[in-house]
Amino acid sequence: MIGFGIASHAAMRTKARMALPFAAPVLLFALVLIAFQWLNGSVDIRLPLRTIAVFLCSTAAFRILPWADLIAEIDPRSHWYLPVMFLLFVHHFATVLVEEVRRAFQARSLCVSANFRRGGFQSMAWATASVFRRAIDRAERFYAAQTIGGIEE
Amino acid sequence: MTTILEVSKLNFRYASERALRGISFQIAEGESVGLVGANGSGKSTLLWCIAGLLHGDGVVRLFGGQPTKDCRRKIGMVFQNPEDQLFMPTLAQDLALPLVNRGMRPKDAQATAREWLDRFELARYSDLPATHLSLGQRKRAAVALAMVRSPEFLIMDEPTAELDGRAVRQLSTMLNRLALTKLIASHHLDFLCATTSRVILLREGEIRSQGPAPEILNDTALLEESGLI
Repeated sequence: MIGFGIASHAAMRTKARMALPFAAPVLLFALVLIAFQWLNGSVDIRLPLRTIAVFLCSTAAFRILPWADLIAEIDPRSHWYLPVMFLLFVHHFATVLVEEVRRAFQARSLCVSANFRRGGFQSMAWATASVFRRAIDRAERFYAAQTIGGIEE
Repeated sequence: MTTILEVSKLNFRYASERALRGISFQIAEGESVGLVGANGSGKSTLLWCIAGLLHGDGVVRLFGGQPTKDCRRKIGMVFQNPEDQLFMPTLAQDLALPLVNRGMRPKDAQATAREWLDRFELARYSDLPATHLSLGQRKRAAVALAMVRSPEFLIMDEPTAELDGRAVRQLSTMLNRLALTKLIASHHLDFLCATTSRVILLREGEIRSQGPAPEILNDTALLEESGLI
């Protein structure tokens, strides 16, 4: 969790502010996968690479595809409807998550004078934990809103 | 008059604390009822129980006793944060989605969605994503989204939270135009006075008082005791 926090926080301080907050957790996840494999005694690079490839493809798809036109064109009975809706859900939730990460770490940076001095790591851990709690809250409310909104009908 | 909602001896407990204690009240068809209470008094929990999103002990009977799942088609709910409801690439598509899910042709659904956006003075934002709108506009869009399914009962959770004075006035004007049963949870007293005829006052998970809106909302001692002023 602390690693996730540091990676996200560091990413937000760089010039590529928009892209890196998305990329940092994915890269970290891939590194953790490799670390676990290494601990297990056999490193298979394909799985982390596949993770990064899926991330890159999805990011490209989200950026390139004309979502507004696609949704208007797709017949709700077509096989493409559900995957497109699923991707929209993921897209929306990723945006929400990035916003929550930004808020949590912005609030932390206003309270902590230095990242690596006393209290820096602890506050990083709490800020990271708060992102998870907020993400769960938001996911619950989003699901509730869609349920009431008739997404299951 | 037909009873739309009947709540009887409703209790709800989160892990460590009782959020609702013996809540009982009724709402008749066409009534506009306010749910008022300080932060943490149980307003949102009660609304979630009524909508069938949380399940407490006791009775929640909607539309004469139909199961909550069947009733969901007749309920419109506006959540505190419009981002929980609006996520499509354009506002018109957000409103069209529930209609398409019900089997309406996408073109017809789009046309109906645009009609509703027009009624809420949001027509010119139809082709924009909700993120491009101000909070007040997003709140109105969320109400339009709830209304597009033609519900018989509208539930609103803190519709005025974080809104400025003008946006509150616009929202109350829009709401007063809607002729349907409403339950509005808020601690914005002027807004409730303008939009509801009866008010239920919650305090620490219990109904402290209920009655005509002007009577409850002008009782300074009661409001002060309940942490509202």
